[in-house]
Amino acid sequence: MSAFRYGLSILLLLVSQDVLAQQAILRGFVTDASNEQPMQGATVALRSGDALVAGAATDGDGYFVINRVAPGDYEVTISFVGFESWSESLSFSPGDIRDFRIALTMRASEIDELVVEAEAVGGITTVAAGLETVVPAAINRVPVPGVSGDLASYLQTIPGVTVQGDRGGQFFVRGGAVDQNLALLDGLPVYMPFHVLSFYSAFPEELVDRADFYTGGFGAQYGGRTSSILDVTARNGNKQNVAGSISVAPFLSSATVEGPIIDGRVSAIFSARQSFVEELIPGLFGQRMPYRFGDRFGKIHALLGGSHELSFTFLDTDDRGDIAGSKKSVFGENEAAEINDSTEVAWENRVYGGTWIYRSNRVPLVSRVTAGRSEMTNAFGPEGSPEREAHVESVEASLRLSWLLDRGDISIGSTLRKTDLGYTLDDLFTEFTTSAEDLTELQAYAETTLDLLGDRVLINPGVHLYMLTERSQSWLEPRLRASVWPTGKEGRHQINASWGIYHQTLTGLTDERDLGNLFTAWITTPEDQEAMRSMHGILGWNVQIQPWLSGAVETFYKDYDHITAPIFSAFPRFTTTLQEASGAAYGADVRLNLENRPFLQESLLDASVSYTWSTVEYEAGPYTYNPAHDRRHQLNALLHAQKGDVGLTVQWQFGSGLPFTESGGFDVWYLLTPDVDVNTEAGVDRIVYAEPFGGRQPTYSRVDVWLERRVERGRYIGTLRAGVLNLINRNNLFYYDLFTFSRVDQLPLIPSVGFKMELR
Amino acid sequence: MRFVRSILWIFLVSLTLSGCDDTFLDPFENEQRYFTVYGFLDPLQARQTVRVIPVTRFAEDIRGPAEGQAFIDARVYTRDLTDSTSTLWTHELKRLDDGSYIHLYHADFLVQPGHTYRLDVIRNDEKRSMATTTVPRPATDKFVLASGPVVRNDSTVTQEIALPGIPALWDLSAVYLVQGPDYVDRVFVPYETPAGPGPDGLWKYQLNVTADQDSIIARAQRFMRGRSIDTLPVTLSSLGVQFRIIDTAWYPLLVEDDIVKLSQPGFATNVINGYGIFGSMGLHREEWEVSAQLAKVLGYPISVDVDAGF
Repeated sequence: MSAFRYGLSILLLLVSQDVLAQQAILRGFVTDASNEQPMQGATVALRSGDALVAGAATDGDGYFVINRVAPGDYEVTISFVGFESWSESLSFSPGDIRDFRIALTMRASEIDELVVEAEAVGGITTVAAGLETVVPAAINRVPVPGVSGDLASYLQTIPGVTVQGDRGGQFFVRGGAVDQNLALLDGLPVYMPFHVLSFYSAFPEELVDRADFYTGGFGAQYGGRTSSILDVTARNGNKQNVAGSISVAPFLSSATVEGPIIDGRVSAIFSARQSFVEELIPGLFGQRMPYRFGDRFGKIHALLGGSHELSFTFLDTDDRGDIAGSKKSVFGENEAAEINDSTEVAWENRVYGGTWIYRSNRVPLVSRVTAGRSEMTNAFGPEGSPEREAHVESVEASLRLSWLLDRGDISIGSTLRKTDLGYTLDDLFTEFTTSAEDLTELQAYAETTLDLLGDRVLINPGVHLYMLTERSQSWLEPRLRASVWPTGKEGRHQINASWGIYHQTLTGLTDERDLGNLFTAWITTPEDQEAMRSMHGILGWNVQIQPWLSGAVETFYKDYDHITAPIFSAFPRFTTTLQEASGAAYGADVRLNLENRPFLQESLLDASVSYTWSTVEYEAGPYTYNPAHDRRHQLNALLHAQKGDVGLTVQWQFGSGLPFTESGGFDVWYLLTPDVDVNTEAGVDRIVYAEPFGGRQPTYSRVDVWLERRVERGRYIGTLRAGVLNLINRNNLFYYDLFTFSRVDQLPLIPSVGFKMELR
Repeated sequence: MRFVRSILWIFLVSLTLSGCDDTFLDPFENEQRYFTVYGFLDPLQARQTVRVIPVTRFAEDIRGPAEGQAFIDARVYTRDLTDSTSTLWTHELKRLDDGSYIHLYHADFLVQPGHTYRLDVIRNDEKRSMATTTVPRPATDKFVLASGPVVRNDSTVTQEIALPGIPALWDLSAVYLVQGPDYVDRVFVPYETPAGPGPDGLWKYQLNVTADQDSIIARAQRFMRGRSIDTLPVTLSSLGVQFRIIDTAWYPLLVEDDIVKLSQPGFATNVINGYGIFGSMGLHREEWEVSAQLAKVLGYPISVDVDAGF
C-alpha cells in the first residue's frame, strides 16, 4: 500500500500546483449543439492580436483547460471541423478562473468534411495501446449485408479479434475466451451483445456515439473481466430537430427516429431492427437461413440546468436460430445423411438504466452516477422445450468522479454489482442439473491521466480493487497505460504500452470442443478455487509514414491462471465438471492504413490492411493444447474506392484454420464390474476424442463486394447498397459434427440489396 | 501510385490462392486403436464371453442383421500363457431386448486360477488389439477363522471370518450345506464387501449364522413347493464361505468414483491398441463341518413349514 500512498501524494502535489497558480485559467466544456454530446478534439485557441498565445484540445468529456494565462486581453476561438466556430473577446486579471460551456453548431454545407474528420479520428490505426476508439463513420466503412454499418462487423476487422463463424456472435479477443469480454452500453453490461449472425450486434451505426474497444491492457476504470472491454456510449438524440432513418434489407431492416422533446433540452432516440432473412431467403443456394433476430433501443437524454445531464437507456435484443443451418456429409453434399438433430439456440438481453452526469461550473469536476439492470437468458434446444437454459441478471450502481487537471485528470470510482445466475440442464447432459447462485462484487478504482515532458508522454497509472463481499476475497490490481511521442505530438512516431493485472469470478461455461454450441451457463468460480487471473502486457508503435499512409505494429502478451474450464469428457454432453486451466496468449499485428489516395478516374481510395500472428496455449490436467480460438494467422483487407456519390468496397478476410478435437472414433462404455453382463447390457455410446484440439480446420477466406450509391437532397439522404457476401462461394468450414460425421459450412455466396432513407 | 498498385496486386494474388485452397478435411484421426473390448473370465461360468466394438468413425448402431455394421472384421483368440493353449472364440450377433444388435464372442473353457490369458482381437489386415489378465487367487491356501462361533446373550450365533493375502476382494458369501430327506442344497448368503482390508491386511466379516437361517428356510420352502411337501426336517452339515477376487485390471475402478473420469477412453483400460477392460476373477470356496453342539445351539434339525413366515 505504500506505493499507492506515494502515488497519491504525487497526484495531490500536481493538483496543488493548479490551485497555487497565480495566473489566470481558462477552462470549460465543448458540446455538439445538436445533441449536447461532448466533443472530443475541438480546438481552443487563445490569441493576443494575431499571435497565438496558447491552445488546447478537448478531451473525451469535451473538457479543455488553459492554465498560466497572463493577465491581459485575448480573443478565444473554439473550432471543430464542420462546425461553426465560436469566438469571444476576454479580459483576464490575475487569479481569474473563467469557465465556459460552449455548444458548437454544425455547418450544414460541410457534413462531408465532418465525416472525413471523424474517420481520421476513429480510423483503423490505434491511438493507444490495445485501444480502438470507434466512431460511427468508421463503422460505416465496413459494409455488412444491409445498408447501415454495425459495430460487430467493424470489430472483426480489428487485429486480434477472432470470430469462429459468421453465425453465433462469439468473439475472442487476443487469446481471451468469450466470457472474458465485457461489453458495456452506457456503463451497463450487455452479456451477449452480438446477434446470431455475426455481422450484427446490438450496436448499429446509428446508435453509437463512440465505442472504446480495449483488446487488452485496459485501465483501472474497468474490472471483473480478464480479456477485453467494449465500452459503447449511445447517442443522445438530436435536440434541435426531428431526424431519423428507415432501411429495408433482407438481412436486417431498421427504423430510427430521434428528436427533441423539449427543444435544446430533452431529446429522445428510438430504434428498432428486425431480420427477415428467415422468411426472405429460405434456402438460398442450398443453405437454410433459419435465423431470426432483432433489437429495440431507446434513450432519453435531458440537460438539467447548465451542469446536469440525465439519461435513461433501454435495450432489448432477441436471437433465435439453428446454428447448423444446413449440414452435409464430410465427404460431399451428395452423401449427406438425413440429419434431424436440432442445434437451435436462443438468447435475449434486456438492459435498462440511467446515468446522471454533473459537470461543475465552479470546479473542474465531472461526476457520473450510473445505475441499472442487465439480464440475459440463453437456451439451447427446440423452441418451447429447450434442453438447457441459463440466465444471468445483474443490478448495479456505479460512481465516477473526475478532477480535470491542466494536463490530465484524476478519477476515482466505484461499482457495486449484484449478480444472480443459474442454469437448468437436461439430465442427459450433466451430473448437476440445476444451479442458482448469486455474487456481490464491489469494485473501486483510482487512476490519473497526466501529460508529462511537454506533452510528449501521457501516462495513465491506476489501481483497481476487486472485492467479493460474501466471500471476503479481494484483489488489488495495478494498471498502467502510457503513450510516448518521441518527437512531439505533431511528430510521426508514437509508442504505446499498457500493463495490468485482472481478475474474474464469473465464468461462462461452454463446451469448448463444440464449436457449434453457443450455449453458455454462467457460474461463479468455485469457492475452493482461486479467481481467474490474467496479466496483460502490450507494446505498440504507430507511425505516420506519409500524410496519406500510416502504420502500426503492436505486440501483446496475456497470461491466464485459474481458468475454470469444463473437463474433457467422452460423452456428447455439456458438462459442469470443472478443471482448472492456465495458459497464455501472445502475438503481434501489423497494420497499414491508406486514406484518400487519388486513384483511377479521379476516384479516391481508402484501404486498410492488417495482419495478426498469435498463439494461444492452455494447460489443463495432463493436456497442453491450443484452444478452439487459436487463430495463428489472420489477415483483413478493406479497399474502398469512392467517385462522387458511388462507392465500391471490397473486403477480404483470411484466417488460418482453428483447432478442433478430431474424432478417434466411437465405441461403447461399460462401468464394468463383475455384476455387469455384457450378454444382455448394451453399454453407453461413447466418442473417443483424439488428442484435445490436435486437429486444425481448413483456412477461412471470404470476399465481400459492395456497391453503394448515395443521393442527398437537402435534409434527405438516400442510400442504395447492393453486394455479394462470399463472392467466391468458398465452402468455409464452420464446424464438424463428429456425431453425424457431417460438416456445417459458413454462409455461401449470398447477394443482398438494401435501401436506406435518412432525414438529417 | 506504385505503392497502391503493389497493394492491389498482393491482394489479388493472395485472394486467388486462398480461393483455390481446399476446405476438405477428414476429422477422423485414429491409426492406433482398433477395438474396444469388455468382458472378463469368470470361474463360475463354463462359457466365457466378451463384447467387441470396432473403434470406427461411426457409432455402432445395428438395427438388423443385414446392416453393414452387423458384419465385423475381427477374429478373437485367447492364449493361455501358462500352458500355451490357444482358443478361437466364436462370434455371435446378439439381439438385445431393445432390438439392437451387438457383437459378442464366446469360448468354452474353465478358467484356471493363477493362469495368465492373452486375448487378441485381430482384423484381416492383422491390426490387433490385445489384453492380458492373470486369474487371481489367494496368496495363502487357507483363510483364517479368526474366532468363533460365538453364542451371544440373545442366542444369536456369529462366526468371524478373516481373509489374508487378498489384494482386491470383490464379494463374499456365506455357504451353508443343508440336507433333508431327498434334499441337499448349498445356500449362498451374500455379505456386503468392506471398502478394504484392515490395517493388518485382513478382510474381516462377521457371519450371522442365526440370521442366515432365513435364507436356508426360504430355499427349502422353494424346494418344498416344487415337490408339494408340507414340512421338511433340515439339518446343517457344513458352514463356509465363497469369495471372488478381481485381477489388477479392475483396480482403478476401486479407487475412482467420478463417473466422468471413469468413462474416459484412456482410463482404466488394459487393452493395448484399444480400449475397454478384459479382466478375470478368482474364485475360492472353503467349507468346514458344523459340530453337533453348534447345530444344536442353532436349532438343527429344524422343521420347515412350507407356509411359515419369518
